[in-house]
Amino acid sequence: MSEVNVLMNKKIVKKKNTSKKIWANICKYKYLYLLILPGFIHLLVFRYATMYGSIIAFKDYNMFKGIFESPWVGFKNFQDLFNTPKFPLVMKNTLIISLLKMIFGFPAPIILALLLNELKNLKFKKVTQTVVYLPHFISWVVFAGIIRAFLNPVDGFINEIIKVFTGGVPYDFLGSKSTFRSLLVVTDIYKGIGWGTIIYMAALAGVDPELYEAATIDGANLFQRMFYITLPSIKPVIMTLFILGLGGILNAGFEQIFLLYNDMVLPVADIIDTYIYRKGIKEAAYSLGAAAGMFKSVIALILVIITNKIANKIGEEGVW
Amino acid sequence: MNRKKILSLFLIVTLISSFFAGCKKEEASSTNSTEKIKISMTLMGGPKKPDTWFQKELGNKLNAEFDFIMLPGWEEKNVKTNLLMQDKDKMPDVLWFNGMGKEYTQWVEAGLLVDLIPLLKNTADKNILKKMTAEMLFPYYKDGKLYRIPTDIGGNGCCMSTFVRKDWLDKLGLEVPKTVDDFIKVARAFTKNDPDGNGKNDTYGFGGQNSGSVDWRAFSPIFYAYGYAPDFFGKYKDGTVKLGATVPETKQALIVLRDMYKEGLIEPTIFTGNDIGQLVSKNKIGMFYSWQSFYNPEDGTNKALKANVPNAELLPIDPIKGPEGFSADYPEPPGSWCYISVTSHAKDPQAVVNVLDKMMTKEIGMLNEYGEEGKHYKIENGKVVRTISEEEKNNLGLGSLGWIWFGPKLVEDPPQIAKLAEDRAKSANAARDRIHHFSLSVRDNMPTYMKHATEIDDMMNEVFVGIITGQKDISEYDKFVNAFYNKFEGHQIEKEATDLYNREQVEFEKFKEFYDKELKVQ
Amino acid sequence: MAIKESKGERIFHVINVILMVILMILMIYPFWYVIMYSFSKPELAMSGGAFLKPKGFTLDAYKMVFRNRSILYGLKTSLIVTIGGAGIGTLVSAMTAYPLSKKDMPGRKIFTYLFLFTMFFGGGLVPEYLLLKKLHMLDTYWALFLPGCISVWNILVIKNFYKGIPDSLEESAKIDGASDLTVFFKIILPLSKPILATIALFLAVGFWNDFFGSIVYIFDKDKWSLQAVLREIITNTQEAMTRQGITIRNENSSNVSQKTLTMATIMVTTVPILIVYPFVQKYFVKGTMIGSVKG
Repeated sequence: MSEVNVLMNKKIVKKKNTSKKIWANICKYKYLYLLILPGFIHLLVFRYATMYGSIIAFKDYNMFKGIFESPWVGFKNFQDLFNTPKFPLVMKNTLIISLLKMIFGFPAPIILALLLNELKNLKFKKVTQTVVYLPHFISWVVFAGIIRAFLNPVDGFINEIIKVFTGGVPYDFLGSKSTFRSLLVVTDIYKGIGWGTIIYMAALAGVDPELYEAATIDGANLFQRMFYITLPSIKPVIMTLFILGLGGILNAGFEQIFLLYNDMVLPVADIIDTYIYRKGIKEAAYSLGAAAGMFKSVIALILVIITNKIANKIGEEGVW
Repeated sequence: MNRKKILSLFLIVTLISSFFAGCKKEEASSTNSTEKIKISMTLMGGPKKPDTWFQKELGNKLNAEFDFIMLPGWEEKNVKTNLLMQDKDKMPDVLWFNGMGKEYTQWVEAGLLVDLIPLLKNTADKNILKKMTAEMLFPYYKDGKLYRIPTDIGGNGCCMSTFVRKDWLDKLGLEVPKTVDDFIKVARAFTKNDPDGNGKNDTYGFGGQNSGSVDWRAFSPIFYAYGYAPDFFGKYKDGTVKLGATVPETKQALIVLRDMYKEGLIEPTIFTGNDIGQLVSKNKIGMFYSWQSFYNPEDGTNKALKANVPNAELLPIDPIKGPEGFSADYPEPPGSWCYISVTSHAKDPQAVVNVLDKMMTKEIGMLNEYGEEGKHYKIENGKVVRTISEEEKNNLGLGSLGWIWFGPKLVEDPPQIAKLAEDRAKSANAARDRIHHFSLSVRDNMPTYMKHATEIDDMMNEVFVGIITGQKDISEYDKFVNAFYNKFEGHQIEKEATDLYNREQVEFEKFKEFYDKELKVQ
Repeated sequence: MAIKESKGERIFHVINVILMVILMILMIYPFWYVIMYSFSKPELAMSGGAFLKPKGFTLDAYKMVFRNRSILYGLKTSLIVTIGGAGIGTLVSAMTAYPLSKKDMPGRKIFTYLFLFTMFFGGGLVPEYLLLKKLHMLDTYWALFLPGCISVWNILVIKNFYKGIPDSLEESAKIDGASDLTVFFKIILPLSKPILATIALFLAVGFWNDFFGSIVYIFDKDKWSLQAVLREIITNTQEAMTRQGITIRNENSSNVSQKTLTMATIMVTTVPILIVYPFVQKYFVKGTMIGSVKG
């Protein structure tokens, strides 16, 4: 009996202690909670208060009945999505295009930032930075027109050059299945590389110049300095962007592809989003779109959480 | 330093804001007009400027107060329309829309639209009913109710034509092509005999528009000559209604196109995307199928071509004849491509329809198109001459009722253009059973087709483009037809299509009777 | 102290400069194209080409753009939304990121996951519309920047930047009796200028380029942002209509100047935001952080 009593007493004491401790902690960190408050309220109001909308993926959504009044259909929308004859193809294309963009497009701005960092003339550096970020501001609609004007086999600038070498045989960049994905990757990098360097330039601003001086005195050459000082100092940013970038693995770039693709390259260029869009024109595929959106989100969330775990495990800094 | 900069930035913003507050637009005066009915209406055509002179003037003329809601551009307009329609407070009284078949069904189901038949019959002048023939109204009439009326009517059957560069024909001493063989011959000469005389082999006999996806209309001169349009249903010889892509004649047309492409006669961007105005005006193609308006010397494309090649001449020609002597032009759908509806937001729908009815007069048409006589235009020798610039016209809001207003013709077309429209209408209307637009809803009546439509389209485009460009063997065509019947339930689709086609004839007769009795205005 | 460069390094620098010049020529081209197009005579421009120089020369397109009322009103909206959104967004993101970077704060994990979740899942357009309606924000500028000014991506990036700030700085301040608030505003914020300037730039460009908000939440077209006005011009083309499956008589084509007008509008709506970057670059000077630590 007494033993039990003692045990119970202990428990109560422990409870009191923990709640006291929590309260003390909250007091200790009260200013931190104050700091997070505005962002948290924003989160609740603008993100979680509207979150109920995502249930339309499980409903036969009729906008004019309302989200709650539309009938439940369970996983039917997902079944429809996975059972469409084209789903394996568009899924494959989505993954290939976005992986290619990741493999080539992700390191590109890092390399450019490293090169920019080595420019000695500050004025020249600033001008270069400003110029390379310009293409970001030309929307895809306009940019697609420029790409057409440049690459078309009839009188495109690039093809005029090609014709000189091939004796008048042009190359149809936009209509060629074998190179269309490369075209997507290259134009994507072209448009985004300068914009992508900005964040690395910001990170490079935090590197202590004395580190370089010390390394130089120790006999490190330029490339060694790049590898052993510059790169490690922006590694946290690289990791953050990489992990967050994985979240977009199923977004292969709707607008770009939508404006550039055509029936000749459809088998290699059709992605989930363009396919849903085409279906939508014929039959207002809201539920299908919502299901596809949720599918993409779930995959993205899982991927990001896993990579973050791995990053933390192997001793790198994850995002959180 | 920084603070100063931020401060000055804020100052600039406040200055600009106060400047704008200063030149606040005129508020519509609502003091003396308590009886004026308020009408909100969505607009898609025209300059899309709010609170303009035209808006006020229209209100004065029709004793109403208009609230125009501007829809955004084409890629986003459906999103906006849906948001407006799901919000009972913001719903417009008069909704302009196009497409949106599924949403429209849902609006009707949800009781958001008003039946227009009794309201139209009750108007004083019946201007709208005077303009509407039975053929125009039939596609929108269902179970005794009419929830939308077609607007922007005025086309009389066909808006396109085959064009040939007359100056190229003359230069090479060729005749206007009449048959498929002629067509190929001329295309060959245009490609290989340097019709532009620049010494380079840089021209093509035939080209056409592609806005992201193959537009089979661009190939009409060949496909229609063989009798069927690949992307349309049509009545076949055996009496069934078939998808044009699946009939054997289409295979013949594909072979012709394949051989033309192999010879280099077809401009390749017809498969990868282009801009028809640019394509024509850059002097690279000799024949194409496009808008009749290109014939008009005032047309942008025509002007641009002439700026590039002063002696260029675009000649619209009769459709090319096939081996069986058949020929056709693209028939416009019956009714229209866009509509207006009156919604349940209108407190007094009859009053709204009364205003709409009064709107469809020549007087309002002139106000919409040209403004006020003496102020914005004058009449010289019976011709209307604008006295204001394009931008002034936009700022006044002229043209705001574009795609909504229909009524008596305001000005006569130049005779050669009127003649062209008449000729093409004849050649298009003759083909209406072979290149058929269903009047009744395909969505409601052909569920099997709706289920597979995207996949069938994708496959057709892929196979046909592959065959023409030589990447696929012609035997792929048979595989496509096979897939259509076996994978995509083609027999069921044909049955539904044939049923729908036959039902249309019966139901139209019934509707005609109803129309003659109830709606026809003498 | 002068450090002697090796031959290899000198060659690298020369190649690097040449590379950058080539890159600049490549990168400036799209802009060049738009500028040259906008100065061209409409009927000459229509036949396309590379536009290395204008085809003919006219300022008509710009005259028309500046006479367009929607552009002037749009400028006002865009300025308000951009400044408001970037200002509030940067400040609140910086504030939110700080507690999330504190490993020992109770509840940090929950907060992080709550934020992270919204990066991937959202309610969609209609619930957001209804929310803004309830908040009486429809048809106001608030609707254009308040919902979008906080992004989890930005918060996480800032948070990871904070991690690079030496703990010793905070600790010594705390020993001197400074509260978390003081530490944040007096030490952390000044040290984070480069990243905050970057985030402000990202937000500003994002808000400046946003057209969708205006289109869906604003009914009075005079309150549309510049980019919404531009978007409408860009998507009101025959091609856009054909893509939607609309086949009508080609009425717009009588307007030859449509394309040059579009290009001029692009220039007018884009140049103001381009000016922001050089201001931001000021904060990218090397050693910003270390310098201020020592000072």
